Amino acid sequence: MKTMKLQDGSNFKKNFMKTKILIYTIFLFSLHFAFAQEVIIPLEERIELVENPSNTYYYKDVNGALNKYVGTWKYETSTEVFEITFSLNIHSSAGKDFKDELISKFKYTRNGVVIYNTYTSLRNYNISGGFFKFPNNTNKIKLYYSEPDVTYRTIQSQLELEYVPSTTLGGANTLIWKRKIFQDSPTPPPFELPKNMTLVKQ
Amino acid sequence: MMLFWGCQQDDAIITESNQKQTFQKTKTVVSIDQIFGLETIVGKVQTMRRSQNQSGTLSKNNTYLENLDLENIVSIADSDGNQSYTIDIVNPQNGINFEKLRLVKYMDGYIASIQRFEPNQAWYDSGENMNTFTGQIQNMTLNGTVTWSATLNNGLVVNNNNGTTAKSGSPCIINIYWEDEEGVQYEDDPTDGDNYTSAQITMVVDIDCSGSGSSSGGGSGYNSGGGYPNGGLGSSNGTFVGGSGGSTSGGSNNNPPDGSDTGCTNCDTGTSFDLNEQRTKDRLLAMSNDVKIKARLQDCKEKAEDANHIEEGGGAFRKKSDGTYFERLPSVIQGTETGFDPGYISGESVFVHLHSQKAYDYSEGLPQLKDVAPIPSKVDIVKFISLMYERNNDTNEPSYSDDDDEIVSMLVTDQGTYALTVGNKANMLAADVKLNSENRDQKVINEFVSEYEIKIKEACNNDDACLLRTFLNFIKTHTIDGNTLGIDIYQAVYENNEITGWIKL
Repeated sequence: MKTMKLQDGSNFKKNFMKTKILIYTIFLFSLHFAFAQEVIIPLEERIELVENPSNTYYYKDVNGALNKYVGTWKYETSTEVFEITFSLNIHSSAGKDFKDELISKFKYTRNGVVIYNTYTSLRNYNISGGFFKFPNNTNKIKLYYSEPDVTYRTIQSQLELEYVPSTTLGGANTLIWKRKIFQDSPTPPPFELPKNMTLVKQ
Repeated sequence: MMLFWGCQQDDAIITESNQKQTFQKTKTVVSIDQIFGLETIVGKVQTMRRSQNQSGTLSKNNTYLENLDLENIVSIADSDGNQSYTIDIVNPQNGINFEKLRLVKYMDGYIASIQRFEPNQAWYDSGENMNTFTGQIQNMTLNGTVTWSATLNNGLVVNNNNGTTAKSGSPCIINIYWEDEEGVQYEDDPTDGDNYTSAQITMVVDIDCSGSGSSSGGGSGYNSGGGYPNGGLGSSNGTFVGGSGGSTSGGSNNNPPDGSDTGCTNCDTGTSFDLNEQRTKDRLLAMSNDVKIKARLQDCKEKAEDANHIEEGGGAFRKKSDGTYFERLPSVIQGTETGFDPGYISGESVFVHLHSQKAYDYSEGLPQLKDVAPIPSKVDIVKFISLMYERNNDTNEPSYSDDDDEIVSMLVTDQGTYALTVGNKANMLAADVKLNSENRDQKVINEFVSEYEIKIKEACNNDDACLLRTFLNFIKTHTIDGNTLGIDIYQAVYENNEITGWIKL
């Protein structure tokens, strides 16, 4: 009986220790999680944030501001056809931070000659990103721009898109496309795509 | 292939992919007789301290270094060529406090310092695990000047200034050279060579705590044919070769303290980092005092400060065997472009250019004058990374110019003169693969571009102080595949329009 009591006491101690270890482990895990988790900032409010460099941020599209850009858009003249399809890329790395962004695939044909067709390749970052300069106007967005195998100035080319919803019943929404680049001389950069376009939602 | 350094321009250099290098650090425990020359050096340090004690120049609290644990010396070496030795100072009167003599490889010699650890009782009672050191650390020169101090909690720096306290005082530098019986001096042991015939060679140890470059010291002779026992201590006057040993003062810094022998993770790069920083400052000062580079920096400064000057300019520099530099002028200077064709010539290691305050933008109709940011641009960063790659793959670069410290991109603006230097070679080479090589990653490039634009340009508009602050945050925290860019940045200190030093930002 005495032995039995001792065993019970021993088991109690063991169980108590296990519980303590479990609680301690959960506490440490929670602590780690509390310090390691990302600080979520609505994507369109990023411009207003003064970042703390020691934080990891997730610029999340909590309000669906990117959704209006998703889909296929088309620009067409007598000699040119340009078609681009934007899709969402969720929780994409952004240096030490993360963000939701747009990625794209596109095809450009001029005088019947296909200049670019990234639909058939793995490329979807030539035109990508998503930054709202004005938190209250998500109809204007900045993306980062390059063209396949054109290395000229890829480091700082920007694209500004303006979403214009249709004002007529059954009318198509449009996208005003403006490529921005600092140009040191009157000689234009050797990009193939038009600098300015108005694209129609397909 | 032309290479552009500029604030807006980008002609990406296509380079072949290269192998990643990994940083390695090894820690071993050795006895003094296992390290060539160490006994002589330690003997010289002890003699110096003994002399200072007798002359009454030391305070009571300074350790006299009479009792050292010479059987358990911690040797730490890394793949970047950094080397340190840490020797426990035995002093029963210290109580729970303890001290260490530190010898850290610096150019041809060592920097010597004493570290005093004052732990709290709880840490001491818990078993003295250096990974979790809690208490104070002081770093002192051999003559007792505190150069920095730090408070650590559980191995992490916790005191104000976000790191160590401000540095002051000059480090004591141990210079080693060799002298034969005819009085000829050698930087390296000449008996290593096959053709040396003299029978007697002396290893000379100078200790310089003045920071001015002058030194006094003594030598311990040994016979080249029969080992190197401690010989009679002599006296000689020497000159420190290749380093100013100048003041490290200049403000606080965020560097962790010297804790490599403690194993504390937050202090992992402490010793080599501090040493690298001092060495880099010395190199930068030597560069900016070179006749050609100095003239180019001055020219750039005058142009950068001239609000009516609206284009860049600069030069590429290659070190010659006599230590001076040869300058190559850019082939294109236009607006925000400073172009070199070819982009790199073997041996070039220093690029200097300026950012004017404004430049013309021709992108929309009539040219418009626009502000130019007085900070290194995205292109400057990428080109500096590319330069690292070029240098790393340059098999023809001369040995007198093959240190990573030689690789520098200097930028002159109306707000200051900055130098990008190599902080982590492996990270820079890895970044080059993603940003510049044939296998460059458009997603990584977009991340780099967009984060630079958003975190710096968009956040600051044209506020210069904001631009510099956010740039520093960016250069220190932006990661590619989890690694930082590996770039350090220094700013020149001017006195009477002359560069007199560099501080790490």
